[in-house]
Amino acid sequence: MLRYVIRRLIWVVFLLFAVSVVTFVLFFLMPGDPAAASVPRQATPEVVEQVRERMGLNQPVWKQYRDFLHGPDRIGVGQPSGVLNWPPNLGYSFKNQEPVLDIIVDRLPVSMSLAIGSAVLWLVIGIPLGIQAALKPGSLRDRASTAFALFGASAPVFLVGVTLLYFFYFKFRIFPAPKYTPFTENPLLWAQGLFLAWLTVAVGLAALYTRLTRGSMLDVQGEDFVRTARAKGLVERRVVGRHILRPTLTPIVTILGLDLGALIGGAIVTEVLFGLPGIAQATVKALIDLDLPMIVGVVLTSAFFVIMFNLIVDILYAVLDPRVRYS
Amino acid sequence: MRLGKLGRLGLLLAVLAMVAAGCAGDEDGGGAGTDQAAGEPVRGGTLRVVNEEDVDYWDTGSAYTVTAWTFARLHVRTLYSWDSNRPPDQPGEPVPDIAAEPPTVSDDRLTYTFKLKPNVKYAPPVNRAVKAEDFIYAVERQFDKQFPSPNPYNTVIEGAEEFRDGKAESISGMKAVDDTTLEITLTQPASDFLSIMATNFMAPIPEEYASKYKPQTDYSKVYRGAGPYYLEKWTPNKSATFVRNPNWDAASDPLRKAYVDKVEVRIGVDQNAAQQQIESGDADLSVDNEPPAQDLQRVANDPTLSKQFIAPLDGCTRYLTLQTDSGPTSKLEVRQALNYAVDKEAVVRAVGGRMAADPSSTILTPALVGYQKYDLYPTPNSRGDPAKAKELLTQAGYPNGVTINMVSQTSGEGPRILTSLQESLGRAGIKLKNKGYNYPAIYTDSLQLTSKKTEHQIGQAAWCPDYPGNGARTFMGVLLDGRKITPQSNNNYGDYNSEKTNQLIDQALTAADQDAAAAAWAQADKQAMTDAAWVPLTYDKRGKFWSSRVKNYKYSLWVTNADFANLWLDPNTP
Repeated sequence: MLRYVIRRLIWVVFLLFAVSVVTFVLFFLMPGDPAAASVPRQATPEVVEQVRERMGLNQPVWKQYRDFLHGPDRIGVGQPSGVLNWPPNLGYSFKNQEPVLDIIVDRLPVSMSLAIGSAVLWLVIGIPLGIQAALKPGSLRDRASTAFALFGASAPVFLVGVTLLYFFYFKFRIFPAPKYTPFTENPLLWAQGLFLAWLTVAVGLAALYTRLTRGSMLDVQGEDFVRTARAKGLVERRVVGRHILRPTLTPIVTILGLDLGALIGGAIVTEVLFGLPGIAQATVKALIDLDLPMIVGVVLTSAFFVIMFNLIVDILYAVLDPRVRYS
Repeated sequence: MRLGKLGRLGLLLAVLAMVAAGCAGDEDGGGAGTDQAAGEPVRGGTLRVVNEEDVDYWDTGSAYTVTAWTFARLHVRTLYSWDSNRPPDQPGEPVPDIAAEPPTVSDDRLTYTFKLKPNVKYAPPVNRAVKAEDFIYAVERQFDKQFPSPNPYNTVIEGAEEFRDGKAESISGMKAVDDTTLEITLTQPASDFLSIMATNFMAPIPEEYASKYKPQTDYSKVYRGAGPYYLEKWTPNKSATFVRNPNWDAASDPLRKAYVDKVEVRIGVDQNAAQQQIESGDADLSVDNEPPAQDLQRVANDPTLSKQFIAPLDGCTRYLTLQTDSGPTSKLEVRQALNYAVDKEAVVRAVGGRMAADPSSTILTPALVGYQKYDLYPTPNSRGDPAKAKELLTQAGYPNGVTINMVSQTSGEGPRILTSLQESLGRAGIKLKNKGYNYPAIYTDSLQLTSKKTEHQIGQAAWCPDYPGNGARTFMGVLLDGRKITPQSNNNYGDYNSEKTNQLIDQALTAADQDAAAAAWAQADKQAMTDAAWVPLTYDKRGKFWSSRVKNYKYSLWVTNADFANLWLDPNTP
């Protein structure tokens, strides 16, 4: 297992390297001049060129990538930039010359709060509903869960969010205005300010997890060891709790890891709709501003979390299912 | 159905209510704006602002966004500034701020001598009084090679270009005669010089404090001005907080009453969320969010909400730039045909109706002196005249119609404007071969590049003046001066170059007074429209909505927002 983990960690580095190269290439294929876009239209051509030089955009693309790995101090901070330094320096935002890593670290708690809170909700909603549906297939409960799944899968995130905001905040004032308060500052305000955002993300994913749990549980229920457990006379609650649930959750854990990884930095609609200053909101801003260092930074961050969560769930998979062994 | 007495009375009341709501929601102000019945001023409270975008900088040397300039009213004082209590028909005239009185001007109108008020003090930790040297340092630092300022007006000062190019150690046209006397010499007379001095670019900066930081973002975090407030904390793209400047002397500042204690800004709040929060009272107003299109009618017609809403002209214009030296649009008759063909009412509907814009027919907008209401290419109800357009196309040698290359914006109202243009121009036999760009690529990758003139024979464009009143230097002087055409960063997108117009622009810029400038600008406007350099589309409006506790909301064309330094909150908690 240890060798497996080390091999995977080495792959992480190569994958992130590949992601950074692809991001660079895609950026320069996009229309737009970042230097001209970062100054007002009234700026003279000379000012645009000075800004272009400061951004390093007057260099060939390969040299700009080299500087991304290890480059000069263009804005006079007294240390070289580049991701191969220690600590890694992801460069400086074209827009406001702030260190990209600092911006991402500052926004990470927001995105993580959104991801974790949503995950708790969708698991708490989706898994029990799925279990109930699987225990009585074809029943009213099962059909209700199917209807919920269809709704959750087809309702756009934006529509769900706007509807929740309208009724639960604006119309009936059940929740306060959405806002991010750090957990360490006030846990209650943290939860209150994020709840509607959590629910927005959770609705669609709870629907998916309902169906996943139902399907997985139906598969497991057909296994010989479940038949044996029932044949031995165990009460149904024990059969479900001790014999069915764990193998049912194995594929759920796999998907959960991928969803969590993707959500950190990927909840663009929700962060923008609720005005949450997370990584996804920064991504949108970076794309509009043609802010190359920020774009590379947020893409690498998102990729990192997807890859790492993937690794974590693979390890958990082995823990949950003793039939799985890595060599 | 026959109405009884009660029914008829009810109907009359309903009609009166609709008329009143319609009037309340149809504000068309261009000057000091409007306010609800304000009552007695109340001091205290925290003004809560929710914005979608952050400022570019707080550093006045480089800040060049509406948001930055709106908040500058709180924490920045300049030699000259604007008074939001001016009559609506004089919104653009600047008045002394740090200047103790109007300057002495030399006979050749080149040298201005300002006396400063002695007790205008920076916020802590600077603490000292503003001195003449601070204005010189403020301009010199704008020529930093690594962090150059986008200020396009500093080169009106003699010696600024030489300093910029490294040929001089200082700007010869700026002299601190003593701590409270500043002398500025220009390269040529400028009828709008006092308006230029009212822009935030010209705000004083204390060298002993600012020189410890790099310009732009670095200095923005610690910026200190001499206004009634100062920036206590700024987290880029997240939040900003302004608190009172303990050194501010109200007696020296008749332009600002500074009723609120604090201003808190939350950034990243989108249009819909901002509207909900302001209506609910969880926020007070937004600088860059207008009421969403779906809420405009409701707000404008609601008897309560309509008192917290205005939709005044903001001085901006949308237009079609026409390439004067390439393709079919190089012919005057084709450009004239385009002016006749466009259905401007349809364009107004495309951008959101009469609460978002009015159809336009001139280069200058009503916010600028020199604006005169005229239409050289009138059509019935601004709906276009395809027959007249076809006649002109035939004269131009296109009896069977013509195809013209166009660039348009793929975001915002761009697609809807394009659709309406395709329809109205199509009726006149004009086909558009369109290429879409997002913003800002439509400018950086097409319109501003003379090498791309073939693809932008027609271009969807928009522009706003930097200051109202005598501000056409920032408008026609940029957009239609043939001597300013450059291969890149070119804002004269159609490469329009008329000797007559250029002469009139020069006349306006160097005019002896505002009236003379206005007359010259008006002629320049008419000349450019005679040459059909553009198809003017709209005079834009900007919807403004504020919470019920905001009082004395005075809209100013100088910032196309409220004067934050003179509104108050009632109730004043939080």
